[in-house]
Amino acid sequence: MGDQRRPEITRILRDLHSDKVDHRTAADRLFNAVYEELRRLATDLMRGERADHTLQSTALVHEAYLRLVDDSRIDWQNRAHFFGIAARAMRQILVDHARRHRRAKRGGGLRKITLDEKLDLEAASDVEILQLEDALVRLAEMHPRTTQVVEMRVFAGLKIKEIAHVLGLSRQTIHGDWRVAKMWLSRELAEGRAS
Amino acid sequence: MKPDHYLRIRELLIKVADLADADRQALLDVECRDDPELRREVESLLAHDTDHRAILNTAGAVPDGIGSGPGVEVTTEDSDLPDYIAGYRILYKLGEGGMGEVFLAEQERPLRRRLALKIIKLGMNSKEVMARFESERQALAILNHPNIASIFDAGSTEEGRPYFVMELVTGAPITEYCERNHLGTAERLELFILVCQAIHHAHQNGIIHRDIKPSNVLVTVQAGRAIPKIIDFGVAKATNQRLTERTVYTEQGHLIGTPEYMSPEQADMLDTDIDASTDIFSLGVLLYELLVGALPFHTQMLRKAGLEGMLHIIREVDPPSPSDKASSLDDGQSTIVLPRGKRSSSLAKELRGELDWITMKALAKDRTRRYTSAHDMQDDIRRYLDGDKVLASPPSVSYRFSKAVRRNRSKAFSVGAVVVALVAMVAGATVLVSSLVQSRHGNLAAVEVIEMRIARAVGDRGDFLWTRQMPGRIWPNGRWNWNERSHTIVERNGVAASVVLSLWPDSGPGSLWLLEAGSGDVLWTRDTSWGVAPVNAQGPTIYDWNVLVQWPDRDEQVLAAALRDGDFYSFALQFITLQNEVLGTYYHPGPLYFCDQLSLGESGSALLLYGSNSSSRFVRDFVSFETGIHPGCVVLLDLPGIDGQAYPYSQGLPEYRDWPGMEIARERGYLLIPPIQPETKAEVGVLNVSRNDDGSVSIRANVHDGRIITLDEDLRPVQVYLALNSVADDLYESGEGIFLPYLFIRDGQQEFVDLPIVVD
Repeated sequence: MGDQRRPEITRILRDLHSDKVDHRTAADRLFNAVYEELRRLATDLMRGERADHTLQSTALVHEAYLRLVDDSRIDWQNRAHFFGIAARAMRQILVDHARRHRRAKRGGGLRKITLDEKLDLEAASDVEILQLEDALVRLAEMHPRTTQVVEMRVFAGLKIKEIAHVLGLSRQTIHGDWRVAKMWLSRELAEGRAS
Repeated sequence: MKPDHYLRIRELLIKVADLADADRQALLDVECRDDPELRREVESLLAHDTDHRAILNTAGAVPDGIGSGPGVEVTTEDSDLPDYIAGYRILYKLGEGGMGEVFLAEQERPLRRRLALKIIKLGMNSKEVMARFESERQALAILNHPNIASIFDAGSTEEGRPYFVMELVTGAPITEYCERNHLGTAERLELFILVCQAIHHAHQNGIIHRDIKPSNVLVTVQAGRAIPKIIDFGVAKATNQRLTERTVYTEQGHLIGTPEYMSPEQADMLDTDIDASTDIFSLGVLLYELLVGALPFHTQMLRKAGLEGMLHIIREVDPPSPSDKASSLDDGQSTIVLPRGKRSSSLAKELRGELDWITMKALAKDRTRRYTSAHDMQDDIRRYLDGDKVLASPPSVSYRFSKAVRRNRSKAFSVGAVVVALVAMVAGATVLVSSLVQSRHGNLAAVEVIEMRIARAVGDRGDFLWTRQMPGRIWPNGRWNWNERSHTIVERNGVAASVVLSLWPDSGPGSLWLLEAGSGDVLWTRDTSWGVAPVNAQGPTIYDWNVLVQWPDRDEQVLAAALRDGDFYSFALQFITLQNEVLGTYYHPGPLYFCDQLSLGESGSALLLYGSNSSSRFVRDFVSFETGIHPGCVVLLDLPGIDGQAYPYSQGLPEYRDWPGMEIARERGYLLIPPIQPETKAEVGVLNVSRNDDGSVSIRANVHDGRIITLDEDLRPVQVYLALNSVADDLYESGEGIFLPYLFIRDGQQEFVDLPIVVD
């Protein structure tokens, strides 16, 4: 396990909030590294297992963490930042996948069904992920922070307190963001609202 | 919504969300007194406070330690998952099922390793579970087989939820693995043999699995080799509950067990008498699924039957043999993705005979007729693979007969069973109708063979009986055959009707059934209680149908049905919602044509796509000369009226971009044309059809790439399969016309003519 970890990731994480590096460059590098790792893991997973993506995404983020980061050399803040970035990468991967998948397999947004076809979970979750993505983009226009909260919560499984740490805000604030976001997103998804 | 508006709503929502209803109303009265719009918005959002979409549920907790900064408390929302259970560190949730949840756990001492920890849901008697587990603990501990996942530990959590700790197996259910890797029948059988060996090993150690199903047989790949691993040994027995209405259904009416794999003796609702032959039965179901890509009994059918009906099916009803099942499945119904050029009929051919016998032997209702051990079953499969004669054999007529009589007597039929043996010759195939149960309405008058494998039995008072498969059962009026998609009897006011179409296989108020009555009337019904609501009782006969589009998120779908009215076919689009409303019916008078995809844009415009990607779909493609539509075209329609313009489908459809509805449709995600598949282009054959003076029809085939695909010499009625490409366009341009017929040659039926096929 240890030899799979990449020391530079751990270093970037550690340096993220020091003066040693340009913050944006470091964050970009981190995002790219995490994105690649997640995509690789996701590809393996989707080849070998079922497609309940949201259930798996948290697992993937954690798997990536175990692979990339030397846990003993960073503190909780570094960890939380990793998960914040990984959540964004995971969101991107799921959306990319859903888009590609729909293009390739469904011939577009159509869902052609035949008699007694069993429920196609994969297609349904593609649709939902893309709907969620649409809704998140709209949410970001109104309240970007809430979108970040949803990202970390849904795609990386972070707890409220952890999100609070990443964003440097109180738990109460995050809890409020999350609660309102859940209502708003649930309504948008339920109504299949388009932009 | 503007950002400041959102903040205002957010503030108000948080203020009122936890208030009692009266307080909430009072506060909203004050806060929104000048802004009814704001109030509507807040109330509409509050309606979703408890009704969250599943996608928003997070997948579990993160590893312990992340964010464990000073002064932090766990919120109630996060507290349901402990960091440790019985000394195992819980990392995250791997999955969730009816029984409970499975977590990835880490054992720290004595050795550091990752395990799967399954926690049974609350509500089971922890002591009983543990007692049952203890009784097998020794035996389980000595199970040591490369294809069995070890159980390391079991116990109860502090809340009294039983848990099991087992070897972590990362892999896909065996059926999914086979599908994903497009394994052929022989490879599937090789994997299945390993499963049999593992089950046999357990049986020799006195352990019955009791819950063999794909999700308990995972396939992992190690060093390039596929290794099936059977999980959950010991769990089913320990957590076994008597089968009752309560244990089978949750409060929402969802089935939590897995009746598809359940043996008849398990369905007897008695906890006695479970032995190795129970596992053999479940192995038979698994083998069936691996071979056919579908279950013996359709899941929706079973679940819809209610507990009693379901148990009756499991105990009494013989499923169709694998080959019959395979041949009755349409494209897309089997999960097996057939290799290029292979069709369901050739899969059926492969299964017919020995593989049918092996599977059906394992599935015998009478357990003494099953294989006596998993080892015997595996041996028989090995014989098949080696080309040796297998031990399993087709059930004898006398056995089937005695069984039918026994069953019917037990059901207290008022009339004695009349057994008629009929041999019908259809296109050289021998069809044996082994037993007929006399109709309550009279005596059997005639048996008509309608298709190769379908017979219609007519009673002398005009009612009729159907059977789907021969050999097989013929059901008396008023009962129905559980083979999904079969021609099914229902009865209403003494009129038997055949179910042609079940649009909504899932139960619920929206289920829609399309019935064709014996008189040729079309009846519709929309509920699952078999009430028949005539929509157009005097309407034309439904000739063929297709579900074109479904928008799962809108509960809406479009059905295209072809109606036969005299000699005329017309095309109808039915817009249907789950709210039991037929929103509209649009008829297109004129020759029948079928598209295989359809999407709707705004304001009633529609796009029909012909012959997109699967050659077998073209069976349904008819061409209309009048409307200028032929396979390979995209037809843009403005509904209603369905006058459209056809565009060639090749070369990426440049013209298609000009369609005004396209932008809207694309934004809504409804419209994207898949690229033409290379393999489609390779399989090109074009037929010209002309009508002769004597009324017969000649087909002239233009052959491209050296072949025309017609085929299945053993399949009468003849089906002509065609694919197409730009050659079709050229021919069309030259005015020769193209016709892709769906040809059946049926005995004694006027509408199907024997078509001489002339290949140029």
